[in-house]
Order: sequence, then C-alpha cells, then structure tokens
Amino acid sequence: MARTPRQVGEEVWKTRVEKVNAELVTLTYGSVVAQLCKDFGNDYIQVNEQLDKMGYNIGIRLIEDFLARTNTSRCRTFKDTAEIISKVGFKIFLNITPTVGNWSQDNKQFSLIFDENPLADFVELPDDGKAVNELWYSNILCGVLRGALEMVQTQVEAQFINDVLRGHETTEMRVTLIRILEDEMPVGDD
Amino acid sequence: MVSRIYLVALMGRENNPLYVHSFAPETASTSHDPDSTGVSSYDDSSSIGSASAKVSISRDTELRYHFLAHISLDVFAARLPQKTSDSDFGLLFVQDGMAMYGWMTNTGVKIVLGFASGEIIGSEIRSIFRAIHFAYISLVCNPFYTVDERRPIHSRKFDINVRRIVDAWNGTTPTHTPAESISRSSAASPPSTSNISSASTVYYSNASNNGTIEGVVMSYSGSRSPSPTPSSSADVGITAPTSETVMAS
Repeated sequence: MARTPRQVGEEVWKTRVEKVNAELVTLTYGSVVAQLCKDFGNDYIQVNEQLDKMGYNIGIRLIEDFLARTNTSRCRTFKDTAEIISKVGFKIFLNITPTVGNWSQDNKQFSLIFDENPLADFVELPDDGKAVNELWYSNILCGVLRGALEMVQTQVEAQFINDVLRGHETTEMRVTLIRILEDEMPVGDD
Repeated sequence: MVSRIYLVALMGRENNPLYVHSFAPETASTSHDPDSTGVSSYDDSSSIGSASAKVSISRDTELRYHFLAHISLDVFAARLPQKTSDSDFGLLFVQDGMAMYGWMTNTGVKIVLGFASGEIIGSEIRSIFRAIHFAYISLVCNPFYTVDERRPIHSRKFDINVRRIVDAWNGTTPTHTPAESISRSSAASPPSTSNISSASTVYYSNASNNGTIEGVVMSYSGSRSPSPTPSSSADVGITAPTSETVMAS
C-alpha cells in the first residue's frame, strides 16, 4: 500500500523516533558555529566549508539511520528524492517540512524553502559587516544532504542562496544533481 | 486612559545598568549607553557618545530616567527579603509623575518600567515584563553574543524587540515594522493570552504542561512572546515553550 511521503514522515515521527529538547539542539549548534568563527578568526568562508564538512560526515552516517527507520524503497526520479528529503527526512530529524520548489527545466535542480529553521532560533549574526555577507549559518544542512545522498549513489551539490539571518525574505537551499554514481570499487582494493 | 510606557530599564545582578531606554514623546528614538568606562555605576558623561540619538534629547529627561532606575534598585534591595517566589515586584514607587514598576528574574536581572501617569496598571503589566524578559533571553541565547553580566546591552535586535513591545502597549505605530493588531483590553485579560499578538498564527502549544498555554510567533524578527506561566518550565530562566526535535539515538 503506497503511502505518500508526508504520511510516512508523520507516522515515523510519531512512533519510531525519540525526541530531545529543541533548545538543546539550537544552543549546541549555535555554540559550534560561534566557536568555529572564533577559531578561524572570523574567516566566514572557511567556517562555511567546515560546517559543510561536518555535515558531510553526519550525512554519510545519518542515511543508514534514515533508511532503517523509514524502510523507504529506492527513489525512481530525482523528484521523488526531493519529496522524500523534505517530507520524511527533515521531518523525522528536525520536525520541519521545507517546501520543494523552483525546479529547473531539466529537473536536475530544486530549492528547499525553509519557513522555519530550528537551528537558527534566537540567532543574530555578528555585526561586523562581514558575517552578514559571507556566513551561511545553517550550512551544516548542505553537508548533511550531500553526504547522505552520496551514500545512495546520488551526487549533489547543495548550497544556501537565501537566509533570513542575512536579511533575505526566506531561507532557501539550492540542490543540484551532478550525476548518479555507478558502484565503484573502493580505492585501494585490487 | 491607559498610561504609556516612558522608560524601560534593565539592570544586572550586580546592580549595574544594562539597558536604559527612554520612550517619552519628546525623545523620538534614543538609547543611552549607560557605561563606557567599565565602572558599574551610572555615568552620564557617556551620553555624549550615545550611538543612536538622532533627536537631541533633553539631558534633564535622561538624567531623570537614570536617577529613577537607580532609585528602583534601592526598592528592590529593600523588598527582597520579604519577597516570596513571585518575580513581580509591582509598583515600586511614584516620583515626578512617573510610576515605576519592577520585575526581578530569578537570575537577578531586574526589569523596570516607567509609566507616565499615576494610574494603577494592574495585572496586564506582567505580560510586558514577560515579553521583555523573553527578549532578554533571546538575546542571551544568541551564540554570537558574549554574555557578560557587566557589559551593557548593545544589540539591534533587542532594541527592536523592546521597541515593538513598548509600541504595542503604547498603541503607537511601530517605526520599522508594519502595524500589528494590538489586542489590549482595558478589562483584565485572562492570563492565558498575551497582550501582544501578531497577525501570524499560533506557533505551537505547550501541550505537555498545560493545555491552555500557547506560544505566539511574532512574524517579523522571529522572536516569540513567552508562555504565560513560566513556573511550568524546568529550564533555568528560560520560559520559552519547548518544541520537540529529534536526535537519532
């Protein structure tokens, strides 16, 4: 019996997921970003990269958990992937459902539009003029998507193009399909 | 006629001034940096370097407000031994046509409001105190803000939040944000609704504690007005309704 991604997400969220306090996550993530900024001397481009790397490491592990909890089958099209990401993935890990939109002509690019971002609650970017132009506060999410999808043979590029912390109207992440990976032999195996 | 808020002041645990802001009519938008020397006493020579003063305010008013805030510290100290667990200190004193109301948080931060006329305000004032307290919490939760109890508050977002709270109470049109619907009934409003509502819908309800508590989202700067019964939250000083998110176990 096929259920919509939305239903799957709701059901898994309600039954198979343990909850934790939202402020704990928000404050922990906030202190990570603040510490990174301090450590890199406010080089926000570097901070973005580090957040992406951290996210990547999270993503490659998170996908296992996701597949175990949701038993989703393989997505047939990139559109399916987008729906599953937004309705099931984000739902069970952050309890948000970003909207999927702005599909490109070749259906290889889409946007995730976040109307709420629990990671960025209470945050005000530093007033040094640079942060508001360079820092993508929630960049860890891009890494998570990149890592998770890579483990299911989908190579994507994800980056934020809008962020309410920076003064834009919405928080928007652009996801681009680079290619579908064929199974390759691990490096070093003969 | 409901009296207007003319003064909002925050003082830290060591009675140092954190934030003194006048909302009196002749002072359009002024904020005063109460401390430029690191000394935890009132020093108004720093008013000359005040950051955001577009309108030159009368020094008298400024001095008066600082003086009033200072007096209120004495009242806090005097009444503290007899105080039970409630944060609300109510009417502190009336001076110079200004009625001062106080609120001390459980972390020692004191919020003082100065009202124009001598009219007794009643229980609606608690919602303003809570909203300001919540704005303060939002400020402190900002990961980029160095929480230093001694330093005065220099945050644009905090300024905007406090201004919005005061404007909502005073009934004036906020300067930066579109006019919100202001529900301020002169009859005592039931404690479960906040006086300050916005056009957006209820964000989530804190159903685990009490079915009647609701948190309301402010749609502009993302700040939230607090749930009306802080005692139900176990977090120290944080009265925000908690939502739930997941860490994969």
